[in-house]
Amino acid sequence: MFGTFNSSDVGHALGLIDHSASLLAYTNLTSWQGPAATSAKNRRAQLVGELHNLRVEVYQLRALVEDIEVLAAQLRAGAVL
Amino acid sequence: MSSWLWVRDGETKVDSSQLVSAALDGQKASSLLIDAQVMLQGGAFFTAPLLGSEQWVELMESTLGGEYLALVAELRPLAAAVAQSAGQMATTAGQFATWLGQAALIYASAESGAAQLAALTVALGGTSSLSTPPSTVAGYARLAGDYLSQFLHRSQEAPTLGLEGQAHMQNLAQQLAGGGPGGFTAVAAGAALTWGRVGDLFSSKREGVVIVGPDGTARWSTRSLFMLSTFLPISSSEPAKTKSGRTRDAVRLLTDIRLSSPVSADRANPAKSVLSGFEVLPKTVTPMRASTLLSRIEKSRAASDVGQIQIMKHVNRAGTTSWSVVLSGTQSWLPGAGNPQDMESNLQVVAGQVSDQEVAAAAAMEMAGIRPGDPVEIVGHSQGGAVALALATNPALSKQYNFVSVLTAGSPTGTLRSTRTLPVLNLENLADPVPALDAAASRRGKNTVTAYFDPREIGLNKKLTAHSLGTYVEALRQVEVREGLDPMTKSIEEWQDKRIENMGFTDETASEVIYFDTTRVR
Repeated sequence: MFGTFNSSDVGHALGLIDHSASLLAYTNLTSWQGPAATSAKNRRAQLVGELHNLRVEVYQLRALVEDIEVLAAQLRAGAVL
Repeated sequence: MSSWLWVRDGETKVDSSQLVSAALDGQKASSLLIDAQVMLQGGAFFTAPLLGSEQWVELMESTLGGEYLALVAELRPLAAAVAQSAGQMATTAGQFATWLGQAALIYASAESGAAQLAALTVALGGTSSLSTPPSTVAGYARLAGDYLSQFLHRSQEAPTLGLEGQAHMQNLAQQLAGGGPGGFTAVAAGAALTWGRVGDLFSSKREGVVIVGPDGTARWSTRSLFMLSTFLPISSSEPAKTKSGRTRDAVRLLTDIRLSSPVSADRANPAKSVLSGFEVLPKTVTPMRASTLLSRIEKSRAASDVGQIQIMKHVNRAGTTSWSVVLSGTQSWLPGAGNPQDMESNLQVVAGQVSDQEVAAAAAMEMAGIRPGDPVEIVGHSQGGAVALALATNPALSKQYNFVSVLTAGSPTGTLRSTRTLPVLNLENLADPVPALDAAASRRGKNTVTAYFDPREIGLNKKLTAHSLGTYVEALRQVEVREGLDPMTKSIEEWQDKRIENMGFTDETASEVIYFDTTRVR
């Protein structure tokens, strides 16, 4: 209903973000030990945490879009009437 | 968080292939986030397609329509913000992937050699000149020209130049030496001999090195005498006897040195610059920070025929004396130089041989009055760092002096003796090919830390080349600013803590500096 933007797009974006977070979270760094490894693993944990925060924001965006879609449907129904 | 510093120390263990897989995962994550950003961006430009008919206009003016428009107004900035966040995360994930890839290349270069470095570079999506290495020495000469051009013109943008250069050097050394054990050092030793002979032809035969202190006292020694820990005093009444039996007028020799010396306060009247003993020494700041110590090298001056070595004397509140030996990098690149900080010394050092600069530094230490048991640290840039490690790991000197710390910056130290006990910090710029000139990665010891940095990431002055002392000083300063914030700096902080403790530095430590001039006798 929004042309190029609707809740499916947001859902798709959410899937991409989830996939991205999984790739980073589960990438294998087990063989790496030492101070640089500690730094890298901390950095990865920070990245995954930031992606989780982004995910929460995208959920909020999706809820908003869905509200708009419901209202738009009601308006369209009113127009038909 | 630091994204530019890598530390390789005794604790490091890694499978570099695994890091490449992780880097590829990171690249993919970044790509997915870019796709997500593009999708979310659509919401930022959303326009309500509802104002086209009279009925819609009427509906939009209703309560429900007003609510709808309010939600749309809320949608745009939220979608824009979320899309922007996704874009930033894509950038961060991409940087993380680059970071992991860089680590993989550093470790592969250090642990597995040229073939693995080439394979991993290609696996990361790059191209490597190592994939098709030159098959002739002439090919390597052309390659060296390319490297020199990159080094001079865009070295800050070529962060793996040092790693690739090192691998090429390994390949070249194998070709020249038939791949035998110790191949590179044998090649370097041969080159050192040839270089020295060419120098003898250009000027005259080398007959040792003279070291002159600020009070005008002088020592003469040779690489052979150094093996016997012998540094002969020379003065106006005791001319230096050279190997060939010729004698030189010591006064004339010393005057020549003083006249040409960059140290001389008054070149027109060299006698005025000669102090009476070491009682009158320039006071200086105690190098509590490693960057202050390293930047001390800037104070040394040199000419093509005369070099300079600084020795700092520190006395703390308890009266304990400690010393810093400060060594510059290469000053003369042509054969036949009088300054022992030259290419001949470079070749000798990487060949694992005693160099004239090592002889000069050892003589200066004796002349400065360093006593057995006094803590001694050595710092050096480029050749100076290699000589620093050679001195500190020299078995005879280790018995004579209490070496407690070594700092090298941009130095080829891979072929030198390793040390298990001495705290060593090697700093290497990834874009600097000079540490690679020994065709080997720095040795890994229990107390040796090698820190690599990417010059693009630390906002360096673009006028500085990858190898310049200023580049290394700035990198160390940034490590010090990050103190306590980044786990990557832990190893460097530990080295610095040991250094301060071993040197006995306190807030009330007083420091002086002694300058020694050095020149070859020809």
